[in-house]
Amino acid sequence: MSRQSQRHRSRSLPFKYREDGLNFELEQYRIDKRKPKVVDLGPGEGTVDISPSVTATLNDDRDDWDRATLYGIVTIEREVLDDIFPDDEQDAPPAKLYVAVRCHDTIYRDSVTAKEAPTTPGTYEVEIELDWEDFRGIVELRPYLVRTEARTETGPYASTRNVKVASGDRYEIVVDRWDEDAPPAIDGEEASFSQTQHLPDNGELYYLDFRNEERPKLWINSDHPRIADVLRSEGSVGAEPRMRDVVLDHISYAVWSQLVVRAATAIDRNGDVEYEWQETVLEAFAPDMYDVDDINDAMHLLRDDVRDPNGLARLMPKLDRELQKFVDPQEQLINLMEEGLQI
Amino acid sequence: MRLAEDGQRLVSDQFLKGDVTLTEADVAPFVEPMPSGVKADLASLNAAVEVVVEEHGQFDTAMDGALAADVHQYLDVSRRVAGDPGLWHWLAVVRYPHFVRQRWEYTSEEAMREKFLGAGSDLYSNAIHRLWWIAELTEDDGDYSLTHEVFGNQTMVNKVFDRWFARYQPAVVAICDELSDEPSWVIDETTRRFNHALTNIQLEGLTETEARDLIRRIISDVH
Repeated sequence: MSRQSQRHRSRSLPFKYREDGLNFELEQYRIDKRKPKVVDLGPGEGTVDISPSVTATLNDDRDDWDRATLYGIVTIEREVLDDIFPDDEQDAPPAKLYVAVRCHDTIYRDSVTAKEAPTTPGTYEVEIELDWEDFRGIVELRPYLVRTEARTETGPYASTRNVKVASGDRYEIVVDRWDEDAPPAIDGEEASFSQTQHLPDNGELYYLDFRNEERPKLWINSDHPRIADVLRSEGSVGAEPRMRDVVLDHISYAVWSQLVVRAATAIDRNGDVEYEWQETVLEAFAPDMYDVDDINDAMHLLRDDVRDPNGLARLMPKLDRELQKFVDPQEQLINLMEEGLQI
Repeated sequence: MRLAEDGQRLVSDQFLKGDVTLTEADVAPFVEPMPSGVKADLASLNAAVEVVVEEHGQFDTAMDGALAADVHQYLDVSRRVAGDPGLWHWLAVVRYPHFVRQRWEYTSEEAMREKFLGAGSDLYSNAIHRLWWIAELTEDDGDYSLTHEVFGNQTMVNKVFDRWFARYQPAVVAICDELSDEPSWVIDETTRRFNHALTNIQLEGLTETEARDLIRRIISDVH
């Protein structure tokens, strides 16, 4: 889907809403009472790692922290407020500005207020405290501007209390990384492809990055905000979670295809591969693709096929069959249809 | 204690059906200690589980309400600890598989596997994890009245806690409290409309009072 059609969708809400109307910048973070550190990210990057492995110092005899404090600013321009509020509210827009704090793994949702209503143009400081015992994995931060008063007049403007009228880019704070339990075959991260030099910028939805062959990385393009929002949705029922699962199936099929073929080309004469992810991927699919029990037999058969032009033609239907079985795309599609169409 | 990822291989279809029992020797290689500082009164929890199992028949949904507050009180853990799936896997697979099998009928391998090995952010999966989390989200400073009301109404459990807004405590308290005396069809329609309203309203900006006002308006419209 083109970026243009995404922009059209974000404007098709029943009221004026600026998805990129807030400029949110994390500037510093502080771990317990240690000296604050500057957040130094490249353009389009939004991941800040404050996990103990990164923040520990030589003097620490412990591997975690009690509290992290993040210091940021949220800027809102006059032009944005003039666009989302009617003339009679523009001097003192009835809106509050806050940063939502979410942690998927600990079912945590809260907010930190940057400015109570009214919110006029300017830059507002925000201080976000994260207690170690409340979080694990990734914490998401995203700024929102919401109406604080109901409005009776009809028109193109939001009129209900607590309706969001503007938002901004999100940050991911890495609180800790879990190594002991089933590490993912690949890492994943969201970024703006148009602002990140090493990522392709042709409107892709995702990109599988093999610059580090030992650790491939999946990038999701935040230049498609509607899709990125859907991918962040939680729960298992409702239109957005159902759509999320369909989009994930779509991405998953394509990513597994690339991983299997890439890993297959790395099998050496002995039937071995160099990296752990390659072994994981091949163990998961190769034996079933060739209907053999022995992984070594499967590795040799797969190696032969990827090196033979006729073998490639045989390989792809086998791979397609196994991926369809694994991803099972029809299940989520039917869930979405039933949710959306009330069949 | 927690069950390591590798320990999930112990959970065969025969185990899920109750045809196989795991011994201490079976599970020992896969059981790990939790990080220090985690408090749990397992002796009291054991006693509570045995009473509930003793006093209820097979697949009795009332087992949930009878045990939820005890699970929450005796497992005095932080959200960080509760976010560790290994804890819930250990409780369901190693400590209390008899509770899980008595509460949940085996309908398919996938559904039963979820009751033993679900957890994480899915509030509606692991049989013990869901009791702790629903109690965590409905308890008010040691008062479990709302927890008991929620578990007394399976429509409420099903319609509220499988929705994404159930991750935000002010919304959970407001909707469970306002819907506690309503019939199933009102609960069904109100949760659907509330979920829909949240496509425009930003959840984290809602206070409990604001959530309550919104839900009252929806209930009034539904009637």
